Amino acid sequence: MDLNAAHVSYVVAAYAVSFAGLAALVIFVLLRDRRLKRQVAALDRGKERGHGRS
Amino acid sequence: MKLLWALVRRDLMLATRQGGGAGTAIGFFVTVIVLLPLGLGPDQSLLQRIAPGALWIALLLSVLLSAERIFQSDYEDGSLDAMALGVVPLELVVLAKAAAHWLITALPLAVAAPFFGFLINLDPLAILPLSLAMIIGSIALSLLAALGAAITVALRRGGLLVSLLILPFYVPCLIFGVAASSLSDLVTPSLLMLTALALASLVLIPVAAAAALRAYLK
Amino acid sequence: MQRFANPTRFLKLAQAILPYIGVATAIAFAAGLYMALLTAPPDYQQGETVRIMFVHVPAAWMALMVYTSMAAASASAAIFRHPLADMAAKAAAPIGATFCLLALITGSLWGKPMWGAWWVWDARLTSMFVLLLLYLGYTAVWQAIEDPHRAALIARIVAIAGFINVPIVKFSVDWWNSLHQSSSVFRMGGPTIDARMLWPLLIMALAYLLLFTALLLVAMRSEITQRKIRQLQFAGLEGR
Repeated sequence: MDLNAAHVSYVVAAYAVSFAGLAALVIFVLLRDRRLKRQVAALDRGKERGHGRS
Repeated sequence: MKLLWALVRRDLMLATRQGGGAGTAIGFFVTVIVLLPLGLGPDQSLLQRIAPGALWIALLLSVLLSAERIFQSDYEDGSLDAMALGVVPLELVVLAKAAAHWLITALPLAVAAPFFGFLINLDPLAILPLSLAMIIGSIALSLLAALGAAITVALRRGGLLVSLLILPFYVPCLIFGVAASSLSDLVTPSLLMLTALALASLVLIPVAAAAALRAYLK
Repeated sequence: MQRFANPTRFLKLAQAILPYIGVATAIAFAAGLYMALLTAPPDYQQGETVRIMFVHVPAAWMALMVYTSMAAASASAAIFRHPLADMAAKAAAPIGATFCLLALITGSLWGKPMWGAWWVWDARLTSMFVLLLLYLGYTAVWQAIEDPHRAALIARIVAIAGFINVPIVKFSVDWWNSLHQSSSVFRMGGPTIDARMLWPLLIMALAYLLLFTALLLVAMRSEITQRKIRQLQFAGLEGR
């Protein structure tokens, strides 16, 4: 890629936005999954111990 | 048929007794049309160019604004439950309520719009095409408003959601409606498209709206 | 499809294939980006800006594909009452919305050097914008209705109705543009595409598709977990 061509900044911006957007999406999905896993594990432990946690 | 007409008459009576709905819509419509030249400047040729589009947008927003009322009071006091269990299929109940809304709000606006058009220098030759297009198009607008109302009937701040959900459907109505309101002929292909949208709405919307109401009435 | 109706079995299957899909995604992106940025030639007319096509078009394709899947899943939920179908649609929505937003932004960044405008109201752009509104509306329905079963019923209607609307909007804007005879017959990439540009495009599209699949599996796992949490919370309340 010729980095000195006209309008290269638009190309860079487009790829940067795409990368940032997809990365944010991946992080969001994975973090949410992890948070819910912890939540259900905590509830399971609470159930086993006998007193229901809300 | 008689039951349907009874339902429509009931809604009309309730609306005239309570006032409210239609008045708000008309007030909003007039406000938009009056503010437009004040905001855009007195350039008469500019106003004439945008007049059909502006009138259509005002109609659209006014109908959408009054959408919440369509099912709300009947849902809250349990009448909708009774109607769902009654003899008339819920789809036809939806049709009756949409028809009542059309008669109270959308149709009067569609008829009155060209008269307000003079405030924004609407070309007199465009009055007839505009009226015809609006009368036909308002059928679709009322039905779509009823769909939005059915989807959000039990939600507290449903108004915003109705706008978000129904605006995408208003886009083709607006496009074909404004195109049909031009000076050329009375019956243009755009008018036929608009009619097709209105007819399709008559058939499809009651089914979808009834399904939505059933979800809330369980 | 019925084999995957059982959430537990679905979870086991998802767990098994997820690593492979993840690796495939990474490879596809690596290959695609290499070809898009390094080996694909600059366009005769557009120069280097044509490379934006390799992130814009896959995003747009995915935005449309995901919404179509959501509508299909909603229809399948309504007709066949497949228990995971509603969940799949709900899980797919934020992913599709992100693709849609990226398509709009990258499209804008492509449009400015090409046509001189950040935005034009042609059929493709307008329908992509309407699609974003549809995604937001669908997500709003799930947020606004507390009971998940009721939310699912309403969401199905919204998804299917919205799906019907997309071609209507595109047709109407095409019509509108032809009436006004604007010069907005924007052709992205030209009528025939060079093989050296087609391959990066297809591989990037594949990468986006694999990414969607991986994320959808994780998101569905989250939905199943969330359902389990709800059940446990109800059981906890009753158990007292």
